[in-house]
Amino acid sequence: LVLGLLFLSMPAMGSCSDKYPELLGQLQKQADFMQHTNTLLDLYIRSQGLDKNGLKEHCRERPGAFPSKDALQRLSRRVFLRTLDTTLGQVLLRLAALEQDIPKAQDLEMLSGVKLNIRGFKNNIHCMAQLLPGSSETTEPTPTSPGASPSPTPTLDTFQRRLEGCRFLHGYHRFMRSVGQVFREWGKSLSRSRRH
Amino acid sequence: EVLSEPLPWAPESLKVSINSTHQCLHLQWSVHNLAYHQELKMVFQIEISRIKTSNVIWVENYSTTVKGNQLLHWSWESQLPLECAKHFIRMRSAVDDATTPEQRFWSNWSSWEEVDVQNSLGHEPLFVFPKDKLVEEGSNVTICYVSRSQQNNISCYLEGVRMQGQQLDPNVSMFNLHNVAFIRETGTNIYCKVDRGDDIKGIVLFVSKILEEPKDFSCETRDFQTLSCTWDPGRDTGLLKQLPQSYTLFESFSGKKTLCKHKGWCNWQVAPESQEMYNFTLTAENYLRKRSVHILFNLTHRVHPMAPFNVLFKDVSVTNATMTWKVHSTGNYYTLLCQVELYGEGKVIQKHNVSVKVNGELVLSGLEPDTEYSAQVRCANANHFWKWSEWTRQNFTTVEAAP
Repeated sequence: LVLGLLFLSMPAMGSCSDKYPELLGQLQKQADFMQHTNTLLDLYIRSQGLDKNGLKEHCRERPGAFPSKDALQRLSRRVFLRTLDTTLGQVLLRLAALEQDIPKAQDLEMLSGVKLNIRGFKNNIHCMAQLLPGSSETTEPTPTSPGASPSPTPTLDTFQRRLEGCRFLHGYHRFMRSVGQVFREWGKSLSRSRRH
Repeated sequence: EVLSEPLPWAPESLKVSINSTHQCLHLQWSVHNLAYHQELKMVFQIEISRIKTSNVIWVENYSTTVKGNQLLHWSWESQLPLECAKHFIRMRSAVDDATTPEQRFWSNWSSWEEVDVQNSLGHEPLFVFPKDKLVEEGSNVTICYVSRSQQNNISCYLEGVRMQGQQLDPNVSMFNLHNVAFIRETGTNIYCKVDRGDDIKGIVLFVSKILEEPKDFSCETRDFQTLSCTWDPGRDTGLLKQLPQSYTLFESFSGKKTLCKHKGWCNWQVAPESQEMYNFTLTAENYLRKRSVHILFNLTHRVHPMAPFNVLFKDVSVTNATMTWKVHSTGNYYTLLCQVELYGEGKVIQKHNVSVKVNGELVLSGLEPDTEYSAQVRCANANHFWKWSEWTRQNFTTVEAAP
């Protein structure tokens, strides 16, 4: 399934689809897939032993780590895509940091699959940005959303780093759910514009 | 009753430093009034108290020979993380006269030196110690939390299971964990929570399986140029990231040592004509434990020859064939015993043993005309058998009988 999604991303093969509805559909599918915690968070919780009562409930997104759904909905499409691209860039950096604390080979394999997906998704964002009207400029990065720092301050001890990693991934999945919802709204406005 | 008269050689300039990670207190002091050239056997009595000076938890007599104005050192490892409580240290000294130990004249006690790590902690409401400790399974570990507010009701858990603690003072509780077990590669989560509120602090205790002694340690040579040593490393400690492991080979006759790149094997270069006897020590080591095994052997008793080659058949007739083969030269060290098996229709029909120095030769007779046979040969050290080489196999066909 993971690889299947990857091949949906045309740019991975160096060319952008010029069909807006098709590309939008791909972005929605990818966002829907990436919101599921069993693709990443659940693996991390299990690997780090956080699946215990009294601990799991402390693995909640830190406010401000990722843009809220309302904030995303208020953005213009161009700024939304740029914010999405920048935030996922931060996620990739953080995943590289989390990799240090994941010993099992099969878990690391899953993590690389996730990173591959995110790169494919970012490529599709790049293509979508090209289809937006007045899209001469390329996707430049916007200031990162507060809190989504590439990696926690190095002074954190293992337990704190572990908890922060969990909170970050919780936020990532929630963020992808919000992104999926925004893209669905794009889809509705597309079908409305076709009916008129 | 020990008389305590002020002595000219009291401990002076007592300095205390700490190593939190190792939970160690380091003492440094000197003894004044000793002439530069003078040497004196002395005993220093060291007292350590916790929380308050009256609560003495450790007394130790440290004997040493003191020279001139030498700096003296002594270390102590605390079972309780140093952040968990204040510690106090004082010391006194006496001449260590073995002939009259009971008549020791102790100096006055030094003043109490206080060690308070808590005042260097941050302002967070809750702390748990020790951070990221590394221990072997079966160890006993002491954990504590330090709370900034006495009103906080705090509960602590080990992997989700509530722990019962012992209050050291209104802000500090400690938990003695006995015989800790290995749970997972990413360590054991121990955490404390303020009952009313969202604060959670914790530590990861890295518990490793105990490094096993290498088994079946053995070395052999195939060419008298390289010794190949192999061993069974046993199960791994489960914490290879936090607790890297190394294997070292040391040979005592040559005094040479090599750090092995692999967990279960290592090559050792044999210096030509250098030595026949080898006394190897294989040491497996990590931060927590060192294991060694030894073997003593004669190089010529550990020869595992390479497979024979150039197996040819000459003078093949109706009922006979002469089989020849070559063996890898190993200097004039020894004679090889080679074993030949002849196969006809898939079954062994003849077996022969042949002594060989350089080239092997064997006449196979009693064969059937116009028949395909297969012959294989392997060799071993004739004088001190260690291992057979691999087989080398070749087919041949006898000549048709004249009509």
